[in-house]
Amino acid sequence: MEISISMEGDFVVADVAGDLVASTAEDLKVQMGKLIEKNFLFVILELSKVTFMDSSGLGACMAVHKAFNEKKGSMVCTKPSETVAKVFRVTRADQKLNMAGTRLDAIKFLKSAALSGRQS
Amino acid sequence: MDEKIITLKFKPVFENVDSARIAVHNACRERYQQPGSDPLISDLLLAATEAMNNAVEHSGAKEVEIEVIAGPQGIVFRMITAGDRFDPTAGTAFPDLDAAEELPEGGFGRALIAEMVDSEKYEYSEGRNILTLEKNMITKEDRTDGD
Repeated sequence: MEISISMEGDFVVADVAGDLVASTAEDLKVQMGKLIEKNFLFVILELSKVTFMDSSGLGACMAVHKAFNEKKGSMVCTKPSETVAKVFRVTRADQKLNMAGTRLDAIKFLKSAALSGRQS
Repeated sequence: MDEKIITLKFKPVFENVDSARIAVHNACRERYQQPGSDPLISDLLLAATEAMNNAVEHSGAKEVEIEVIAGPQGIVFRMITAGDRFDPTAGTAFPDLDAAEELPEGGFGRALIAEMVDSEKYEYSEGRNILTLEKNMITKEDRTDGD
């Protein structure tokens, strides 16, 4: 799994590629933890290049979501493939995590979250 | 008629689960090429991955053995581990995300297995845990019926 970090305006885009599974889930937590340490608290987690995700990957997304919320930040997951979206859907995690169909929608959400300073 | 399409044995570490998953995926895609097969194979792969992860984390086994069989109804995934009894088919409800005070980071694996396959069977025989998962596939007959 690889995570590419870039900026989209004021927000960080973490573009995840490969398999988000038990052997790699910790990497996601570590990389997102580094962003939090540097006070980058509003993040788009781009999942379109994630080819496979298991429950450990899902757990990592949950953990990262909580970590950003605890710092009054916010994370939005975008564009999961159907295989990955199914894991979010059947576990009902998609009703608890912030999900956006497009990067533009994610940016709109993060702008609102940043302006209102609310946790999501 | 059953046809064994892959058999693997590996040490229980997550990196080997990744390799096994890829090998199972490739074997299934080679065997099942009908339109509509890919999402069904993905379901089986997810269930198999969760089962293998459980074996790595909980079985205490020194070796994990898996075999994938093309059965009359679809794919049969069988995993065999030596060691203490461990029934992965017990307790298969998803965590209640509404009731939890905090979002849980685990506890989804067993429920995902049950959700992704059409049947699962657990046996404990002669010191071996034997888990059998079956995923029904689209068959040639199904396609003919639909024409």
